[in-house]
Amino acid sequence: MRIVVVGVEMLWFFPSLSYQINLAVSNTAFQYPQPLIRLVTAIVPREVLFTPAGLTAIYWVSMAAGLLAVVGLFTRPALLVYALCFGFFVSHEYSYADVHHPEALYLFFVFALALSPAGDRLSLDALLRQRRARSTGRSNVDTGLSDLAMWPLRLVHVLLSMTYFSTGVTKLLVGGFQWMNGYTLQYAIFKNVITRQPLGMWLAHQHTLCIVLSIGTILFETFFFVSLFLPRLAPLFFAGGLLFHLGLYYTSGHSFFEHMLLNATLLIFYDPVWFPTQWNRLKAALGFRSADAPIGAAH
Amino acid sequence: MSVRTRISILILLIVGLHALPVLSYQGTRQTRWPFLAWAMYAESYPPGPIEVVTRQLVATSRNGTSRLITYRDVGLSSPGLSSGYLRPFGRGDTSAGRWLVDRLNRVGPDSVAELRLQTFRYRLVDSGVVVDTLPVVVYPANPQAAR
Repeated sequence: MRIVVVGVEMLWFFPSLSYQINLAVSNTAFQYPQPLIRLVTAIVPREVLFTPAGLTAIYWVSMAAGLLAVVGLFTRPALLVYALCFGFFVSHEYSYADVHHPEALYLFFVFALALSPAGDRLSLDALLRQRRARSTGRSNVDTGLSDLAMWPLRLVHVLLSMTYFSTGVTKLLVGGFQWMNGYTLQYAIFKNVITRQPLGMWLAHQHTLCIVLSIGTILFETFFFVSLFLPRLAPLFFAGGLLFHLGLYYTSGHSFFEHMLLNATLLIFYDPVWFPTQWNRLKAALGFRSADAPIGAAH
Repeated sequence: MSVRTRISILILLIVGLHALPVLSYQGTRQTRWPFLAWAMYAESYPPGPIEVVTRQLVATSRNGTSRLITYRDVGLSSPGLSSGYLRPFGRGDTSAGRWLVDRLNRVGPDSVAELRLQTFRYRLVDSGVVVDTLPVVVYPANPQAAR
């Protein structure tokens, strides 16, 4: 789990260092400093830390911590440092007049991982523990299993439910049922896709489809929390969440990559049986089809 | 205190703190990240023509060269530049224009003599998109007077 969430974020979605430096050198002060930035600047002056050299140093500390977390060496401290650095960069970016949502739940999840038994399996820490146990002649009774391992996933499931519910209900309270008139979604898509995303431009012209998708959006966001009470069906909600954010990205350019990552992580790891079963079924089905397919079908 | 109890308290704290931005709503200028109000795209749009306005900022330097200005050139986010400066500038707020010139002169590669805000209105029609060009806003309105 930690390998996926840290590795993917580091490779593709981690805050850009050049953008961070650009913000720091172009501005002489924070416009709306976020709590972590207020805390940091209370200890270290802005002129010292928020320089190209200071930000580059923190960036490489976060990369080193992330790498340690992925390979599982000093796993929990590494996760904690990685989470702090990630929070620092996102807080810095959002201290200049503009705040967005995508990274918030990811930060909570990584913090939670740092306080969980992450690294007890599939890690260098676990290998070193086994080696130490062998060299001292003790039998290694540590199975790497813990009933506390799942709480970060449960927490992020609750947080996703809360935030989706809040988003859905706000649409109904502020926009009313008129939010589902099709024009609202057409406008929201059109606003974001001018001269970009041909799929979004096509969708912005489809009034009836926009009505259907608006209703689907409200239903998904408002009732995602039901998955908390239906654990057997929860993976279907996570798959829905993944498709929802992929759809938003490819039609409107909304880059909720961390939400995609969290939904995918929940889909794979939330139910230890569901995903492997579905995966094996899929493989069997594909194998069955390819075995039965007529030889000439490929042409 | 057991590990289980400490984790439970932490979970309650994280979940509980999410009530703060809802009870004390800050609008678009939230200063409590990662505890945020999650009202996104909540406004509805009435039936009728679907129109969107975009703005482009062009700076002309003292030697006469022009360049398109992006949010990176002024060290802000794209929405921050748009809501904080481009929209007020488009409404004729000269202080926004002055701020942009001052900022570009401080962080940009050359000295800016004039800013032009070009505004385009895009209208969704059955056959595609119709683009209207709206009047250009210039800062300073009278370059001689500004010198």
